[in-house]
Amino acid sequence: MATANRILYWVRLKGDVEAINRLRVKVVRSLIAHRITLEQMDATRNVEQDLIQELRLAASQIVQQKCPF
Amino acid sequence: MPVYDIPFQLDAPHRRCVVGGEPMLFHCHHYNTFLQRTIQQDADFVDSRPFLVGAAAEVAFAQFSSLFARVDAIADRKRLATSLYQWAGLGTFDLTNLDDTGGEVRTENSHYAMAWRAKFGRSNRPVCDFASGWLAGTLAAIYGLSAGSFSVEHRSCSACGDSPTCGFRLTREAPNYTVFNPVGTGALTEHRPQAIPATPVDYDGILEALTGMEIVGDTNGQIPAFGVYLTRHYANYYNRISFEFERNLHALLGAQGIEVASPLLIEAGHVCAFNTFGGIMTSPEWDALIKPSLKTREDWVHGIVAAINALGWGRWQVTTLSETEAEFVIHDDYESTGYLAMYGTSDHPISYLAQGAVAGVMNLVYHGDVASNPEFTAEYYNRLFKTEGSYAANCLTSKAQGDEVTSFRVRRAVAEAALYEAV
Repeated sequence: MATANRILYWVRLKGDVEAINRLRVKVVRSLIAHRITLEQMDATRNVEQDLIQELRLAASQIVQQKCPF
Repeated sequence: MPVYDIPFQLDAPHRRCVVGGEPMLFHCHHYNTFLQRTIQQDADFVDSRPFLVGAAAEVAFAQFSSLFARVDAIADRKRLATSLYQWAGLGTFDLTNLDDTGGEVRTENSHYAMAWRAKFGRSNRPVCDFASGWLAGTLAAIYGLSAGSFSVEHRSCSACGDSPTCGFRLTREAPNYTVFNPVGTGALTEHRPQAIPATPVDYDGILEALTGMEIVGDTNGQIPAFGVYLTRHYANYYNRISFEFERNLHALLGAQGIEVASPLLIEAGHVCAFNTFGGIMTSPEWDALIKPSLKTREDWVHGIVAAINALGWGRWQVTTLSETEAEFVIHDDYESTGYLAMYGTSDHPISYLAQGAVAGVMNLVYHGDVASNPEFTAEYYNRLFKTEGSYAANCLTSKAQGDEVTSFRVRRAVAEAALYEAV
């Protein structure tokens, strides 16, 4: 499974109900720059490493745990 | 309990409370801090301080410029300002050391700092933007100066954990925040209440009883009630910061800016409903005043809608109601009224708080069985809003878009597609 999809799943699982929406706000500028949405990050979609890094950091901030992916 | 002499006017026909020309309404610390976190910390690429501070300066300056028309002495003006701040549950201030050049002030009681610690724990940055702007706007009004006569620096914040007090320095110089034109109550409509389903709930009696209750700040400027810390806050502060947040995101990102802002602003409405409505529906006041007349779950919805009419949010009605779906109609919802006065007609619905709140009502009553007196935990919140069968609201009409009223249909949400597959 693609790393971005794993991160999103983890946020949905571990975060509060608003966690994905908070994540979306935090990374929206990069989503636009990469011309991708969170919804397009399915299990087969690989995205660039810089976006993965940003997703991982934002996910850790929101869930307040180190993201394992 | 302190004794207050606040010149507030209850505009019962419009379901509003007005002080010095500024509409003031009840919101809890959960809503206040969630909204602030969204604006200040989640979207940290938006330069939000100028409008977070500027919005507070705007409402305080407008309100006190109006109230001080009948108060001449500087000491009396300072007393009225600090009394109103404390009455509203916003905290406490001693303004005696401030003069027309500015000065420094500290407080152990700042609502936003206290609320942040209570909800989120320690903050990594100061959170009292509201208090900063309120001080700047109030001081200008006290000395009869123009809006934006002081800059303000938030020098320490107890929410950060490194100081027991919140400190502010005001300086007579160009403002370091946005100076907005105040809009006051905005244009209100003549309400034509709509027919509602039969219910034993006594709407008028509940409104009279709740608006007659003494819900005011204690000696620390706090209003602990219904399991939350209430504030009787400025409607136009919420309006300004929410809409400036959205407009800034739109300026940066185009339509996608609104798409990312709106779910979080609606979520703030869920947070509000869960905590404030939930607190009300499990309170001794509810048990004594409202619960005895409730026979069905539909009555529970009517009961909380009757109570919402006492919050200063406009006239709320539920016009069709079943477990399957409901329609809510709001005359002069404060968000639309404020938006129209600030920016003119909107091209999209902007009553985010109301949209989240009506879904919250249905989730509490039908999906969460609030009548069983649950614990208001994070797990309960997630069950209400995150699980299959949760309700969501769809805007049918919007006063901000030119309609006569703002209305919503609330239905159980279609089960979300499995966008994110199991690891």
